[in-house]
Formats: sequence, structure tokens, C-alpha cells
Amino acid sequence: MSTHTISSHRPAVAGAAFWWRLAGVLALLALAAWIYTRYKEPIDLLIAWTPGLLASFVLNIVMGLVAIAVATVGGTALGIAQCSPHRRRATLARQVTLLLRNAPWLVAVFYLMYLVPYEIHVFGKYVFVSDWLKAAIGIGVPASGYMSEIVRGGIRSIPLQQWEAASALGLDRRQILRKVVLPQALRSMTPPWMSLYCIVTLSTSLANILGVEELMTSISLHLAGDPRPELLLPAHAYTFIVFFIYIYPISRLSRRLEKKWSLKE
Amino acid sequence: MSLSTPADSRQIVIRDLVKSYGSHAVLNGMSLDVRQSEIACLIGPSGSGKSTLLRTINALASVDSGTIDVCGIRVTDQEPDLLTLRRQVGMIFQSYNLFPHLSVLDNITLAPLSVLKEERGPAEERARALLEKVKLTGKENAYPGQLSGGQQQRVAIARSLAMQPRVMMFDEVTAALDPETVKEVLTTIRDVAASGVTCLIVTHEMRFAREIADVVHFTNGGRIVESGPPAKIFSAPEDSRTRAFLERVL
Repeated sequence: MSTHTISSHRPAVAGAAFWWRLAGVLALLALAAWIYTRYKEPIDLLIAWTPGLLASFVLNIVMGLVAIAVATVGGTALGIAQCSPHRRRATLARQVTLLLRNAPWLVAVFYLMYLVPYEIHVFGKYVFVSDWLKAAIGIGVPASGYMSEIVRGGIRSIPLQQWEAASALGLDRRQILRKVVLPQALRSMTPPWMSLYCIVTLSTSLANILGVEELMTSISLHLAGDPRPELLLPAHAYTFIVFFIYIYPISRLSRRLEKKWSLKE
Repeated sequence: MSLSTPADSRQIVIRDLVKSYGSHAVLNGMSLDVRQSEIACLIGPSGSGKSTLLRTINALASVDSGTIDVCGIRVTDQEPDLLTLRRQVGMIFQSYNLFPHLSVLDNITLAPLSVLKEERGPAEERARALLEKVKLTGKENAYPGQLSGGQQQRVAIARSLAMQPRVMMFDEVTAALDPETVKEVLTTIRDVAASGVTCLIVTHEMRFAREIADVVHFTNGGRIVESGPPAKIFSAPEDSRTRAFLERVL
């Protein structure tokens, strides 16, 4: 009898959560509808611009991927060097990490913009380095300072006994890192790495200052062609929403992985 | 030079080891000889330097002064040949220290594959044979977290044997185990010892030491106080400190 009441209650409780969620979605839709009726003209205009704007947002995504690739490769090397038994190497890596972590990203982007020539001579060929690529690398370089700390933390989280057991078997430092320590540290490094990816992607809008035609620049260009001050706020709200829709699921996933993996251990 | 003469079958030669942490001397003039195929047990109170001694023998810990020679390698040199040393000396730890992200089979084949550069086929074949030896056939694909302490420790022994060492060191390998699983691990060590590998065993299992050892060394205050065959050490100890220790533990 009592079990019956409990089991019949459970779906009801789950149902309540569902109804609340539905109510929330409906409220949001109502709000959106109200805003739309209020600002019909600018919103219609933004919707008309959307295909072009989303095309330029693709550039933000590509820049984010290039930047996280640079940060991952550079930061992993730096993070491993920070844990080196050679004291000099470790100190140098720590200082470089500190420098990168304290460098304003915009300044790094500026430096790369002006220091790297627009074409590079590689293997007898001239390779054109486009501005978006320079900007992406400019974001990736300071981000590698954060990656360096993520990797250092991951390596430090593995107990010393694992190093001892592996060295007693004859593995050298490189082999221990590759086969024993880093595979185990991967779990604790993944959630912060995903957060770094989110931050890096958000920062790609910095490239707008350098004339790279990403989402922010694209919006500004549209605004310049249609000079109406009342468009300014909705247009920037629009970029906010586009970034949010892309970043939010990744950030949620990162949180969930962190929770799940910390519970298991 | 004396090491190469056939009459001298000493595989480990340790002279006057000193190692201090701050003002505390963990090893204080430790000297020890271990012959080939000998089963040597180290007994003594906690903190008397037994575990530290093992860790210095395969260069996991450094020493302040003194010399260690293992299988013709001077471990206490500035830059000893660590690879050769560790291929010849296996070590089993109290806390097993298996690699939790690898299956039992991968734990055993990791070193043969990456250090000895063996082919995967023969390496796995040998790993299976070793698992049979430690009576864990069928656990090839299990992960360390799914095994009991005794089973994990036996995998650790198989993992070490996969490198075909000439010396095996056991550092209080049953100290972290449930009483009922101690026996299965001791049986495994007995099998290893019977195969002719030189064994250096740090243990608190006095009955086991008495039964298995060729020589028992009693350590106290960072040095060896008394050595001899188990019958003598356990029945008629000469040193008063040995006597006092045995009275407490037996």
C-alpha cells in the first residue's frame, strides 16, 4: 500500500519539474514576443541581416578553434616544463607562464598583428598570413599561460607513488608522462580546458578592433551603413545572444563533467 | 674486481650507507651483502631504515654517503645506468601502485612494450603466463579498482616479473592487506623465491620470514645490528635489541 503511494507520487514530482520548466520557456517566449512588438522594426532588420552575420560568426568559431589549438600545444609543453626536475627549466617555464597569464590579451593580439609579416617564407614558398589567423594566434598565445597551469595542476594531482612504480619498472620521465601520468590527469584537465575554450572563443571578438571581419565587425559595418542610433543596443544584444547560444551548452557540459568525475573519485 | 670472481656470488654489496632527513639519520652506516638467489629478510622496528634501504638500492632515493653495487652497477655513482639497474631490480610496494587507468594485462605489458620494446603478441602471451603463475587467469581485462588488495598485489608482482629481474625487492607488501588475503600473496612470494630470483624482503610477518629466509637481518637505528640464519636469529638472538624486538612482536 505504502509503496504504491510512493511510486505513484514519483512521476507526479518529476511532472512538476517538467511543468515548471515549460512555464519558464513560455514566460521567455512571452517576453520575447512583447519585446518584438515593442521593437519590431530593428528586430526585423536584424533578422534580415542574420545570414550575413552568422556567416561572420563562423569566423569567430574558426578563430576560437585555432586559438585553443595554439593554447593547448603551447600550454601543455609549458605545463610539463613547469614540473621538470631541472630546476632552471622549471623556473623559466613558470616565469613564462606568469608573464603570459598577466599579459592583456588585446595587447598580445596587437603585438602579433604588427610583428608577424603578412606573408611568411616557408620551404621556398610565400605563405599568406591572414589577419584573422594572426588574431587567433594572438589570443592563443596568452591563453597558453592558463593551459600551462591546467596541465601543471593535472600532473600534480597524480600521486607520487605512480611515478615511483613506473620508474621502478624502468620507464623514463617521458614514458611516465605519456603512458601513466597524463592519461590519468586527462579527467581533471578536461573541464577547465573546456572553460578555457569558452573564454578563448568569447575573446575572438577582440579581433574586431583589428578589422577582422568577424561578428562584431560585421555588426558595426551594418550599423555604419544604416546609421540609426536606436539600433545600437538591439544589435549588440544580438551578438550577446549569438555567443551565449554557442557557449552556454559547452559551459554546462564542462560543469557536468566536473561534477560527475569528482563524484567518482 | 672481486665481484667478477666466481667464488664471490654477491649480487648486492652495500657499504656504510648514510642518509639523513635534516638532523635525523635514517640510514646510519648500513652495510649489507646479498648473494645470488638468496632470500634475505629484513626485520626490525618501524623507522629503522628498512624501506629507505630498498628505495636507495633501485635509486628511488639518494644517499648522502656510502656505496651500493647491484649486479655490477654502482648505484651511488653520479649518473648510474638507471635503465639497466631497473631492468634487473624489481620492486613491489606496500600500496601496490598499479596504474588505475590500465587493465591488468596492460599494466603487465606496459614496461615490456615501452622499455624492452617487445612486440605486443609475445608480450601479452608472457603476461598471460605470469597471470597464471600468480593465479589470476581470467582477470586480464579487469581494472585495478575492481580487484581486492591481495589480487592487486599479485598483479603488481606479475607486472614486476614481466621485466625478468634478477633481484626482487618486497617492501612490506602485506602490510595493507586484509588478514585473509595475506596468505595468497605470501604464497606468490614463495613461488617467486623458489624460481631462483634473488629476494630482498622487508616484512613484519615473522613466521613467514622464519620459514622462507636464508638469511635474516635485524635493523635498528639505520644499520644492521645482527644477521644470521632464521633459526639462530629467532631462537637464539645475540643482540639485546634483537631480543627485545622479538619479544614484543612474537
